[in-house]
Amino acid sequence: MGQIEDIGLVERCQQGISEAFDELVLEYQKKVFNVAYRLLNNYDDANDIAQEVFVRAYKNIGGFRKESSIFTWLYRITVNLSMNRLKVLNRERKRLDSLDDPVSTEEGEVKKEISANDPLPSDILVQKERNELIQKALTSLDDEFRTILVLRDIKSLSYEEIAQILKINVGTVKSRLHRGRMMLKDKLQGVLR
Amino acid sequence: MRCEEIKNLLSDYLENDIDLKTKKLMDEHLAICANCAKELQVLKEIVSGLKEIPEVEPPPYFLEAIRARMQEPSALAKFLRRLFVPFYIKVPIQALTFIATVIIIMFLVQKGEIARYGQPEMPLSPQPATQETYPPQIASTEKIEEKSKLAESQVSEKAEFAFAKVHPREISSQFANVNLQDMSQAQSRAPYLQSKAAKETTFDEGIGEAAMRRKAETLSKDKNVNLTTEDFAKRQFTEKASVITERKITVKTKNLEQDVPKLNKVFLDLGITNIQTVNYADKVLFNFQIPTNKLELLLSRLKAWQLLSFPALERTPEAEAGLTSIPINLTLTTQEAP
Repeated sequence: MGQIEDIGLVERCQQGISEAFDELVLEYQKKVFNVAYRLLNNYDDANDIAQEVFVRAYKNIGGFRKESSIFTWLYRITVNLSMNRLKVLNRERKRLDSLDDPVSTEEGEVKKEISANDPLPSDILVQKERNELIQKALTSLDDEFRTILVLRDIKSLSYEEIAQILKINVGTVKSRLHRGRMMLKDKLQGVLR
Repeated sequence: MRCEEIKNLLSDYLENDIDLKTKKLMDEHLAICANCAKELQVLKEIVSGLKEIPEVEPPPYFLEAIRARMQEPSALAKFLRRLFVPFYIKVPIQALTFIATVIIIMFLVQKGEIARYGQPEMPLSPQPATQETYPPQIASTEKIEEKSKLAESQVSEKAEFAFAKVHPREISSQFANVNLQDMSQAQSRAPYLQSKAAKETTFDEGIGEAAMRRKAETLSKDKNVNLTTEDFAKRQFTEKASVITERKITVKTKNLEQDVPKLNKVFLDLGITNIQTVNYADKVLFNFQIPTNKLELLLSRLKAWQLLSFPALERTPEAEAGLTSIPINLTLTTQEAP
């Protein structure tokens, strides 16, 4: 959907036309859902967050100024809500099991790694397994790097759009993207090639 | 260029976000340095791997779920409801409410009634041994006291209000104690008070209902009337029933006579039978059981009306407890407030 159509849609939403809001949901539900899903790596959490994104959007669309596009605005709500959820989840997880906690074996304690030492040569990795490994490695990154990678490499947004969504400057987007990719590479090097 | 510099620019190189001169230098280096070339290759693979991750589909009825959520009460109301719904919180809260109520009643009886009537009542008959039967709840209360403090204060307010409702009757029955002839009257009134309090609490969001029931007991205790075994059995039954949370739906109507048949049609369509109906001047109550998986369908059928209150669909305690059906308490009302 183009920018001009979006503006008409936003205006109709702001006038409180419920059909317009339904249209907005149907238009952006998949995009919003997928961003939440890649950030949270859990279908139920993503569902909950994506629903909340639209409920918030419905409540706050009156205050939406058309300085940015509607999808940047929706993505911003998605990222913020997902980050809040992740903070809660991380706190829970930290108590239960940390990814970096040493694992006790017969030969003493070893550090957990994301399948880096598994005997999985790349030629037998089917696409699904590969995607799962990438998602797993992505999930293990810090939130700020994961967000950038999701928005840039999965959702193919421009630097400028990402900068708007995260309210950071383009230079920071670039440097985080680089660092995020290098971290992901380090985690996946032994697995992918 | 050194390998370290090259590595720092690999991401920009992939994005083609470098000037031509740097690109040329990098190309020259990558042609002769197998290590850096491999780094670039892996990075390329990862970036393309990220792009290839397939999209997932949102669940069906995503839009409907959002619409239902938009009609939900405010976050505060939701929080409070969540606080009261899980049994492990609700039961201790009720126990706490009971204790708080007893304290309030004792306080009021001492301060208010003694002042009004001059002297406390004299016991006329011994207390039955069955009246205090809540030690396990009180014990568990101590463990989660911290958690329940906030809720307790709110429930106490409610309990006070409910007490005020029951109170005038209690005062009127006080006169029964003046002479022995009227004592039988007091005896017959005490179970009535108890059942009256229980009935009133049914419409009171279920919060503190046990507490209010116990208040009625306390009242009858104050009147020094023995509960019959029948009453006690009845009380135990109500307590068991309260373990399964009744789900409340309040439907606003403009025309009661017109909408009752419409609602009955909805029930018929969903195959809901055994409906207990209670008619009032301004509302009609429907009590029935509905399979847990049909609740959503029922709510969607009720969208034709304005819903003043309805239960959250996700993670109902019934579903968590593995129950296949939920007791529903549906009110069709012409009044504004639920």
